[in-house]
Order: sequence, then structure tokens, then C-alpha cells
Amino acid sequence: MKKSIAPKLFVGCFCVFLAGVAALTLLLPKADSSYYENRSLAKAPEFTWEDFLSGEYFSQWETYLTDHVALRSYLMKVQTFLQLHILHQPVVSDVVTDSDVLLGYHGYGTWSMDYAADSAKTAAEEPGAWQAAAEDWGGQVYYLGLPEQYSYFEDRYPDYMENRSFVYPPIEEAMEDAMGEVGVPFLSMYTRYREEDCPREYYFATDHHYTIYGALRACQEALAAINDTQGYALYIPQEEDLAFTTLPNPFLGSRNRKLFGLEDKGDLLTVAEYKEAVPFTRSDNGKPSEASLLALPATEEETVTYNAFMGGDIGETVIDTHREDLPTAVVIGESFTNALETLLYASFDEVHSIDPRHFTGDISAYLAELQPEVILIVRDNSAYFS
Amino acid sequence: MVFSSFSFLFLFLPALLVLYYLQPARWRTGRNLALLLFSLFFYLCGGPKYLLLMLASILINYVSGLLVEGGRKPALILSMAANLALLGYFKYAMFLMENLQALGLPVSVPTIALPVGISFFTFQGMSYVIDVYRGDAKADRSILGVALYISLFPQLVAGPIVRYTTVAWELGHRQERFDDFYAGAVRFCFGLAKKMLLANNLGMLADEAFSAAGLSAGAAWLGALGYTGQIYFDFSGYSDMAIGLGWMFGFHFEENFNYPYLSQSVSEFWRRWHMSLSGWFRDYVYIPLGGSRCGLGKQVRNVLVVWMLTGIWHGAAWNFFLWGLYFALLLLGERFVWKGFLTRSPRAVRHVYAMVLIVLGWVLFRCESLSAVGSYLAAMAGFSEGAAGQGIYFLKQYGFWLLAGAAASLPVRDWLKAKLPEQIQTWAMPAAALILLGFGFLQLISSTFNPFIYYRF
Repeated sequence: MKKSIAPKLFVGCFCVFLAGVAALTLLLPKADSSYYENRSLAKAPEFTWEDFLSGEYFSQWETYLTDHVALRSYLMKVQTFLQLHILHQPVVSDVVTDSDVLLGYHGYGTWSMDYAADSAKTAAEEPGAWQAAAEDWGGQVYYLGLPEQYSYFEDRYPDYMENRSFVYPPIEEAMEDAMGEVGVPFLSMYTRYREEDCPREYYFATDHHYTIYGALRACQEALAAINDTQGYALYIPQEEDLAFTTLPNPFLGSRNRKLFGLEDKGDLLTVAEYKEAVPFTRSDNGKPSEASLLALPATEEETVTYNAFMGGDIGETVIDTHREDLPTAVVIGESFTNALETLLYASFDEVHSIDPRHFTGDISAYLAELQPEVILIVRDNSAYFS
Repeated sequence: MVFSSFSFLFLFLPALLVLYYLQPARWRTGRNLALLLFSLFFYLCGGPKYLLLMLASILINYVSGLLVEGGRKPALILSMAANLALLGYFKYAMFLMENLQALGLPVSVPTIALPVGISFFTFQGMSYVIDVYRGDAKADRSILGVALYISLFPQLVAGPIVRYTTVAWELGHRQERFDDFYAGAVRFCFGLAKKMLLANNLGMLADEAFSAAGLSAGAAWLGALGYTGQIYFDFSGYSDMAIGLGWMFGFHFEENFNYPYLSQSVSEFWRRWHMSLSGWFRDYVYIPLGGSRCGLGKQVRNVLVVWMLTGIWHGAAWNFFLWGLYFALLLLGERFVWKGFLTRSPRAVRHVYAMVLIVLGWVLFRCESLSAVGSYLAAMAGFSEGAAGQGIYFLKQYGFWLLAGAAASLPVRDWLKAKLPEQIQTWAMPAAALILLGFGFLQLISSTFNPFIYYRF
């Protein structure tokens, strides 16, 4: 009987596959970072006797090779597509996909919130120290607490999934008490947004930040509190003062980024500019830079991210409107400050933005030297205690 | 190094295949040397200091083989003591000291890392010496043969436990054939898919369930089923890959699994699960103790001894001991108490009976402490408060893999072989293997969740 060619064909394919993947991986140029994972890729390990003897050296090679396997991003995108659209998994890459918005996956479980008061007291120590120092020069510290997108949309989780709604109210309460004890007004946007029934347009569907609309509402709340507390009459921007532009570019939110951009949920990025421009100069990390608050893509086809606001996270940015009759503000916070600053600057002489993750100096010394009238700490509720 | 790693699949294996098959078939020593060097390198990747331990094991068993030939019992006892001392020190010394310390004795607990695969290669070494002592095999005069038998990479770290008598002839005289290579590669692809697709995805379900603070009964059962699938596909996938690799290099290892979840009794399950280990204990412990050809008391003792040893072979912890005892009691019950009832029960009832007991057994196996066992079993019985909806989430997230796992636990391939025309089978099998290889590769690249469960024994 004539033998089938199927076995020979299979063995050929099998061997070509093994050799082909190896050859492509070894020969193709290597990337330094993975855009969709937002991380640096492993570097080729350096030989040390210690690593060799423990077996760690070979593990490092495995990590390096899997990080640099040929077509890695493409293959991972295919896998994500299968999980999303073939298997219809409600959670992919720790992102909850079974909703009209993309949310963080928490797992399940409830626990006592007794720890919140102690953690909040610890979190209030540094703002309290800044407040004590600021009183010497007539300054005031404020703490603007923002909900992370998953807590803003806590009611959008599917019924069968844990939304951790039991966590946020006691934490907000504990933060308010702890900040109050050290003389720092706590502005809970979690509570304020809830009082307005959490308008959909305040937060992105596919990113963990608020939109420009949510930022505007937070900006208004902060400025109203500053005026009330310190007796200023700072300008509070209103929606009609701003020209809003929705960019046609594909928007890649942080959660959608983990899904290789396969679930945009119709999200687009809207930016706002004052109709009556307030001239300013800008410097980043002590060096003059372009007087711009937005880093927009050159073409409509390019992907845009939340980093369009202020050009992303920078250690120190100073926006100077050269109006010395107005107070100076220092804004201390992470990425949530970026959208806020594009609005807030118009109410101050100078706005100094410090991102503690990238700022290399001592913030207390910075404040003591500058002696700003307003110190605004901006944190989202996932980072209150960290 | 594990089979489902990039280094193995795309560097180690292709390099070995080239070096091995570039040598003419008549250069048996050259081919064996290539296999030995690659096997030692395979083990070296886990840490060179453990390679020294394995080399010591090889030397002990090589010398022991020469000494015990002709039935010299003192040499056999010495050899067994040396093998068990190595295993005892590296695997059980910490556990022993911890328990002595817990009893209030003034002992310090040493930190001893468990060398990969020590339980497997120690048992293989013992098998060689015992077979030679019994006269079932001749002592190998060449240390190369003993070294290759003990260190042969396909079954080195997770079995199957290969008896010396199974491969003794093939070590020196095997013939590599294209049909074997083809069948081995197909088997390897199916094994890789079992590991990467089924075991890893069901493992995520098990991990979520077993690490949860509270579980509803439904979610707890789904988690237990997830682990039931994970351990089977992880271990049988590894065995498939090992057997497939053996075929690719001309070796024919014995089967390690025979659709264990089809069993209708616990006794049947243990005839179908990890057959190489059950066989080892049967031939080298149970039968020498007298097996079932003795009085009732001794039969009970023999079963208890074998199953407690089986339990602690899997790990130095009380839950493994309890797991062995659990199966010992079930096996004794089936033999002496409810055998008649079981025989008269309908097939479906027998199957449900066996599966429930098997799943409960895996809960004992999976939990890391006795208190965790208690909590999990309480959750399965509905005595724990679980988060609302977790069971639904498990079904939505892992339902596909549970169904696929259930299907893959059945002898679908055998049914298809019987039903499909040969012409279709000829193409379907390799096509399915290639597709599964592709999906397994996709999962490998996308996933960092890649530990082999049996790698730690």
C-alpha cells in the first residue's frame, strides 16, 4: 500500500517550526521595550558565578528569550483577540471586559475596614508636616482626593463581579478625619461626583483617568475650596469659558492598552482650551520648554493617549502666567494632575507641578524655598495609602 | 528547564536533534554521548550544585549494580540506604526537624532546597539496583549506560518512572525509525497542548479558588474541579511529551496514564493514574511485604504502608501523608467493606462515587496545610460564606476550559480512530497536532503562568 505523505509533511513542518522560531528570534533586531505592556523588556543576562551556581543565569536567559521571541507583540495580540472575541472571557489581562466600560479586576472578598483610620493617619503625616511649615508663610495645604476609574464606575461591574464598593466610603471618611486633624481640607471628589450621579462623560471608558470634563469639575471644587478657606477670589473656570475639541485620533486608554487596543468602547480624547487665552511660559525640570499644555499627534491617524495632557508625567513643571498679583500654587501628584493643570494654571501667577515619582529633589525643601500660598495634593483613591 | 519553555523548544531540542541525527545510526556510543551530555545540561540548568548530587546518585547506583549482581544482600541494603539517605536528607530532613521542633525538642531547622526531580531519579536508580539484584537485568559494565538511564532528560524531572528492564536493551541497541519519530512528535504536540492550554488555564481557576478568603459551595466545587483537571493535564501532558520525546530518540517508555477519570472505583483510578509510580510501589514494596497473599491484618498493614509512602513521596507535608492515608482507607474499604455494594450499583453511580472521592482527594493534595484542607472542605459542604457571583464568574471565565478538559479526559482519539476512515485519520492527526502546537506556542508567549506541578517532586 502506498504510504501517505502526511507524516513526512508533519515532521517537516515540526522541524521547520522549531528551527524557524529559533532563527527568527536570534536574528531579528531586538526591541528595548514593549509598548502595550508599558515596560522594559529583559536584557541579555550577564554571566556571574553566583547566578550560574544558583541556576538563576539560565532562568534569566529564558526570560530574555521569551521577552524577545519573534513577532511577540503580534502573537500576544492574537491571543488577546481569542480571549476577547472567541472565548468571550469576562476578564482578560486583569481587565473586566463584560461591561460598557473597561474596569480593573479586583477578585472577590470582603474584609473589615478597621485598618482605614490608621492608614489614613499615616497618609496624613506628610501633608500635616507641610501644613505646619506652610503656616509660617501663610500658605495652606489642600488634599484633592479623586476616584480611580474603577471606583467611579463601581456600579458598572457585572452583577456577578466584586466591585469593592464597600471599601471606598469608609476610606473617604477616614481620610477626611485624618486630614482634618492636621489642618488639611480634604476634598472628596468620590463624594462630589456621586452627588451628581457620576456623569458618564467625566471618566474614560477605557482609561483609569478622568476626562477633561471630570478634571474641570475637580478644578472647580479645588478653587472654590481655596477661595473659601483663604479668602481669595480666584477665577473658577466654567464650561462656557472653554473651547472643547474632540480629537478624531484613535484613543488608547490604559486599560485598552493592556488589551492591545482591541476594545476601544468608542472612547475619544477631548481637550479644552480657554477661549480667552492666558499667556504663559513653561519650564520642565528647570529648563525652558515650549509654552504648550497639550502634546497632540501630528496626524489624525496617530494613536493618542492621556499623555496628551501636559505631555505626560514630568518631575517638575512650572507654568508662569507672570501675574504677580495672583498667588502661586504647587500641585503635588501623579498623572491625574496633568489634565487638571491645563485648566488650573489660569487662576494663578505660577503653577508648579511636582510628580513625586519622577522628582529627584526634596519636596519639603522645595516648598520651604518657594513658599507658595497654595499647596494642592492630588491623589486618586487607589493611591491614598501608598 | 521544562519542556514548555522557549529554551527547550527552540534551542535545546533542535540542537540535540541536529547533533544526534547527524551521527550515523551505527555510532551508538556517539548518539548516547550526545543524549547524555544534553541530559546533564538539561539538569544543570536548574542549578549546577544539584548536578553534583545527580552525578553522585549515578556513581552510587553504578557501583551498587556491580556489587549486588549475584544476589549480594548486604550490598543491596547498603545501596538502598545510600539512595534513601540522599532522598531523606534533601526531601524530608526539614519536615522532620520542623515536627521535632514543634514537639518542643531543641533542634534547629535547616534550610534545604529540594533538588528538581530527586524523587524520580532516586527511584529509577533504586529500580536498577533491585532489578540487577533480583537477576532481572545484568549490571551495566559501562557507567555511560547507567548515567544515561538515570539522567535521560525526557523523564528526568517528572517521570514516568522508567524501569531499568524496560530500557536496558534499548540503551545499547535501539533503532530510531521515522514512524516512531513522527508518532513521537505528534504525541509531544498533544502533550504540550495539554500542558499549555488545559492545565495552565484550569490552574488559574484552581489558584483563584484555593487562594480565596471565602467561597460559596458552587465556587469551591468548580475550583476543585479546576485543580482536578489541572493536575491531570499537567502531569499527563508532561508524560505525553516525555514518551513522545522517547520515541523520537528510539526509546519506548511505558504508559503512565490510561484515562483515569473514566474510573468507576478508587481501585480502578489507581490502576489508571501515574501507573509507573503505582507499579514501582507494587513491585518493590507491596509484593515484597507479602501483597494480598497473606492474612487480613498483614494485608491491611501492607496497603497502609504503601499508601503512606506514596503520600509522602509526593511531598514532605502532613497533607500528603493524609492524602495517602485517605486513599489507603478507601482502597481497604473497596476491598473489604463496600465491594459488593459497589459491584451491584449502576455504572453512573459508580462513576460519580469515584469522581467525588477523587476530587476530594485532590483537595487534600492541593491545600498547603491541614487548616486549609478543613476550610476548603467546609466551603465545598456549604459552610463558608462566599462572595456572591464568584461561581458564575468561574463558569464564564473558565467554562470553556472545564468543558474542553472534560472532553479531553475521554478517549475521544480512540473513538475517532474507530469511526473515521483511515485516509482522514492519516491527515487529521498531524493537522490537529500542528494546530495544537501553534496554540500551545501562542499560550507560551502570552503567559507567564507556566510552572509544572510535578516538577517539584
